[in-house]
Amino acid sequence: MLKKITEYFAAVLILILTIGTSSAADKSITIGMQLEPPNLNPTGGAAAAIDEVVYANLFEGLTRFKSDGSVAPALAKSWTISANGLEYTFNLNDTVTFHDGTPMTAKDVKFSLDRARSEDSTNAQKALFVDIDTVKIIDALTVIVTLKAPNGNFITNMAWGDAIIVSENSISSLETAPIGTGPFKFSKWVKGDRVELIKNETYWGDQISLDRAIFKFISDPTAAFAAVMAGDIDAFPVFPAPENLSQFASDPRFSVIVGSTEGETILSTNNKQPPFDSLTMRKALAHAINRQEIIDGAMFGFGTPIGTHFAPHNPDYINLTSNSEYNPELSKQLIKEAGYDKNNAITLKLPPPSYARRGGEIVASQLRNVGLNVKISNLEWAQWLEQVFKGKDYNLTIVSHTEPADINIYARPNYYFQYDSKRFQELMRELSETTDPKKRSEILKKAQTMISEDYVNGYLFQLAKTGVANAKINGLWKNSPTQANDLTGVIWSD
Amino acid sequence: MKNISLTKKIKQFPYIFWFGLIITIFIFFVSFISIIWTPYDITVLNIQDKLIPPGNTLHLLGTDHFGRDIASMIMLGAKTSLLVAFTATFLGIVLGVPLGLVAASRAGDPLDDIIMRGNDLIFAFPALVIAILITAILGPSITNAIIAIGIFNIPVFARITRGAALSVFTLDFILAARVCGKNHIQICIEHVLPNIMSILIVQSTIQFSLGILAESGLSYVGLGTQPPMASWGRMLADSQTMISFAPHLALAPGISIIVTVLAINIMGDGLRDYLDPKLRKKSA
Amino acid sequence: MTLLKLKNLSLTIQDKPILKSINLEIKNGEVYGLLGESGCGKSMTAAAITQLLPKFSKLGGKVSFDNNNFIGKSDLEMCKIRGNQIAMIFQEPMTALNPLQTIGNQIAESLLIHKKCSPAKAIKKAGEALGRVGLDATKISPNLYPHQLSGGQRQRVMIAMAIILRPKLLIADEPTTALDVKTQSEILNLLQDLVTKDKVSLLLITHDIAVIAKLATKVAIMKDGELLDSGSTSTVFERLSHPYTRQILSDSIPQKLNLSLINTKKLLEVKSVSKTYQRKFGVNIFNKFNLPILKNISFSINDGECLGLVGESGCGKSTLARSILGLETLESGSITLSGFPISLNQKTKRNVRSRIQIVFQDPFSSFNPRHQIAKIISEPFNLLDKKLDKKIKTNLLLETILNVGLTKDDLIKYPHQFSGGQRQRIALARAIIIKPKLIILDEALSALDVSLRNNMILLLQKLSLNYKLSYLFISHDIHLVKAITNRVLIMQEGTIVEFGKTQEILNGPKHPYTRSLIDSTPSIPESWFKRLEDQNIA
Repeated sequence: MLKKITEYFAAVLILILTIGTSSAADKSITIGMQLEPPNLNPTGGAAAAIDEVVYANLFEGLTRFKSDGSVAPALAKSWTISANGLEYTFNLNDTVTFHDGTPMTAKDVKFSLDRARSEDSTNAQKALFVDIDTVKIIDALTVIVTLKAPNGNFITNMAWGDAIIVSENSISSLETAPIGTGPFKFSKWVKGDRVELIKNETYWGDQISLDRAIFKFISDPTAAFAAVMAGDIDAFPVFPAPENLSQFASDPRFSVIVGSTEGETILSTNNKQPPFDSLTMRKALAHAINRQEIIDGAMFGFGTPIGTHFAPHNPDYINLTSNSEYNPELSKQLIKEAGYDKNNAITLKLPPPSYARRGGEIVASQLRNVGLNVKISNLEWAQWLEQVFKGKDYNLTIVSHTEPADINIYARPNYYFQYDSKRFQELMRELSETTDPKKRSEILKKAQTMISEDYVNGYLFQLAKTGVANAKINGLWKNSPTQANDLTGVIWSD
Repeated sequence: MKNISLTKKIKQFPYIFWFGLIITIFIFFVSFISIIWTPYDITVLNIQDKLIPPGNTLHLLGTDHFGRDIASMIMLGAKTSLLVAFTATFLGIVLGVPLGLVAASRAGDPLDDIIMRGNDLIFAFPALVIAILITAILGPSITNAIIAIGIFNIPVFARITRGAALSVFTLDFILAARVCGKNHIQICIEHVLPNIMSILIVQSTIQFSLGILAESGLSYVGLGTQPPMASWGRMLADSQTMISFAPHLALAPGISIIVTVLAINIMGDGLRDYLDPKLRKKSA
Repeated sequence: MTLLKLKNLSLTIQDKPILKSINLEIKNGEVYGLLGESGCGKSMTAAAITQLLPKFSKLGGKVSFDNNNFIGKSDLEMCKIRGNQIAMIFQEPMTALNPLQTIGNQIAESLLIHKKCSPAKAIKKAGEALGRVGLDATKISPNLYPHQLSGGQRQRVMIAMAIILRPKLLIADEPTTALDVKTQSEILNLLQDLVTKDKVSLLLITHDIAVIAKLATKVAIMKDGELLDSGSTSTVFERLSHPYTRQILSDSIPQKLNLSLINTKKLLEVKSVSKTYQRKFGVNIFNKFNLPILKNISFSINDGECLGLVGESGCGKSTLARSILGLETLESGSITLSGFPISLNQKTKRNVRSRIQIVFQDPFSSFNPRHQIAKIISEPFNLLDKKLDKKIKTNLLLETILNVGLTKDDLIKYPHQFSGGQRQRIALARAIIIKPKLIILDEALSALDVSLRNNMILLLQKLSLNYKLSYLFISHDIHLVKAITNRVLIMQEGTIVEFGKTQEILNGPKHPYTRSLIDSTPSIPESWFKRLEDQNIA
């Protein structure tokens, strides 16, 4: 409660302070974010908020995602792949320097890749690097990466935020005062309030239009609404309260940006805990859910129904929603078949985001409708991570998986929903060994179908990227192919 | 006492008491009704009927973002609030009053010191913060909310009981009862309790209204009652982001809390004026 | 010269008549007594004079003070008169002084309000005023706080506060009722001195004829808000023209208690009892201080007798009474009733306890206000070993309530529905219901008006015959003790200074303390009674 009050105060205070400064804001942008990153090192932490500040702005990798999800060259201006698919030769851009003035060379690439895959690495996505056998420096601007086995995903993997190139000199200050190669330099971090970036005048690539970028952290949706309305925030790329978007839309000062994200919002199901250790029960669960009602009620219409763990905007996506059509009668019948005892309360543990809390209430109501005894408990993130993600002490939870192309999490038997299918694990291994795009597509489709038919989780909807921005801002990403707020293309129009 | 006519008795209470009492009775009545009947079942969501503004013929107070009937939720919220506040107050009385009586009857003994310093210990913590801590440790639920609020009622009642009982203990009829061989327990029950009842009743109304506020506060931060049980505090929290386009979502529980707390306080004030002859004379 | 004149003064509070057409005249330098029983309107008369009336009161008639009518004066104007020209002395020195201010400051307060005077000078004058009321400034510094003074000293401070501005009229409302006899006589002498030296007029309000006899030159007798008789004190009481005057005079002679069943068998024996109060301050349990309260007390009560216990407040009377009831732990000595020990140390047997009961002084705090009389009276049944049949209980209740002169209907009433005299009867009923052997009367008659007192004595006599009772009569009133006890104990600071036959001790005291007690008790002149006897004969 106190936190909320202070936030209101902060919002009011900021409102007052910004009245005088808003006219000079043309060359700077203030981006609103709901969560503050725990640190600013994308190679050492899983928090999405880190990438949302630094990706493409501060740090760059060999390759990068573009706003449509395609992969483009970045620090590597080009690359060649050997015929057996094992040797990748990267040619680096020659004018790249770190923010501390030192040039970026093949040495830094080798250091970064070796560091990420080393045994004591804390990288959150070590799987990206497991296939690397050796990294060899040919000359200052050429690196050869040799893989243990062919991996069709390798170029995409190198575009992730977790695969950015860092300088060996700056390792110690990576978390609080990061030094990268991007168009923005780190300026300061006021803990609990904002991170400020300033323009890197010696950037190797295309010059950017902005002089300054401020990332402001406002967790309370009401305060966020007030801050945007007051003009204190220029853009809130992922606005936390979709219910307010219609108001922004009707206000000519703002433009509402609705896109898609990589966030598959699923009703995660504990596959090893009764009653959902039975396929029949999971199938019953799937048929009890009315996705459109959840999208309308929890997200105010923003979101696309999904029938499997795959982003609908991906070319390999297949619509499998018919597998789990809303059919309460069938669901009731299946529950009866499975012999569910109504005295067994099903726990539905919900983390704080409103998609989970609101979606949870709707899901609970729908499950009660088919005769399941659901008990909701609302958790804070720390408790959720402890009890659900690590402790696996839950029946159901709702969470959005925002990592791109993350269907491979189903191949981890110890992941929190505990899906242990040898067939699926085999399929994923096959995928990583395949480079032919046509074959890969086939495998991915097979994988989608498999988890859909195994009813591993309840697949609800693809989280929409519901952002709001000042109408004069151009160049923000519409979709979120990865967790990022890429500001390199942003310009203010008059 | 018995020959005083009812109308005369009614006149002895200040008007404001009746005002508070009638509203309080109404709220109790509504919450009792909600046990057996509400206009709509709030566990059933009708998303297509969401955010109907108040004044609708089917939904008098409108509907919320899930299409639930606000009037039904207010009724069930009243039940939750009253249940938590009542049980927490009851907990405070059941544990606090005997402690206070023991302390008073052993005034000056180490036992008295132990009890009262223990009370001071609880008093030394900010109530709502500890309530949040308790529910955070034990997990959010209505039972834990009751425990968290009730624990802080114990020293309140112990202290007020001790203070009032001490002055009763000095009176001659206590000595007379001792002469008649009555032990401390008998004396406390027969002689002390009836004479401090009025103070306890008034204090109960105060703690009761504080309990309603505390329950709303805990539910507001998500540590009180859990969905699908309705709670005024959670309704307020849920309605926050929608206040700009659906103010009725916040107004309904907000006004309910204010009116209930105000009514109970007014009733308590009136009771105190009636039960305390010194104040009664002034208002006559 | 007339200082204060009340003409047809009448007062109603919420349409209830309190004072009815009071006419009264006080001259300069005169002591005017206003005599009446509780509730007759004495204090309201004083309040009417100073215009310190409760809300919703309506005043009629005229109050002229120094040819200045008070009626209709604003409160602001009255403030200039109150304290300055009219000063008041109250009954209870405990509550009339502010416990958080030094007495010097409190005395100087009215000086600072009414006279332009520097604080330092005011304190100096306060010191002088203390000297005038007989408090030695070298011993009683103005920097003391009220709790550091005794009751009598406090009352002197009250008087110093009243006289510091040299008012023309002093109103003293029961100034000595709460004091011990010795202090009472000192205060009365002080008031007398002030009147003669400073030529102030004194309106003395009291219920005690002896106080009137000692001080007042003129007297007015009041009943139910009306003045029945007035005139110079000696004329009023020697002529006895009004029947009410005659009645209160005759009531103030205590009824003799004839106890015919006295024998020499010892009922209660107290043998060298000592007790020290171990009191602690705050939480520091090591800081104890010891106050001897009973020092080697020995005496006995015979079957059927009434033993008096006389002493000033704080002399240990109440502790002794509580010890006899078995409510105190004793340090040494023993108390036995018919041979059975009474003590808190080893649990006293119920049937021993059931033979002693007590009646308290204050009829208002003696009963639980929430209980019906039947429940109050039946409380001692708790002491009986075997539970009585309900029918026997009802019969006993009925018998007892009739025995103390109340009716069957009274059993279902509550204490607040009774007057003070009736309450003492209820207290007696509670004491006798389980037929005890000994009843302790702890100042049981002190709070009663004289008109009720004699009836109570008659009741005590009747009960002692019916129930074969003995009494321990604790009192500070020498006249009463003389009338109703056959043996007496004189107690001073926890020791018994004299013990023997009442008539012998009170008529020929050997111990100086006893003598000073008797000497300081104000008494009604014999000449007044003579007229009464003459009239009775006629």
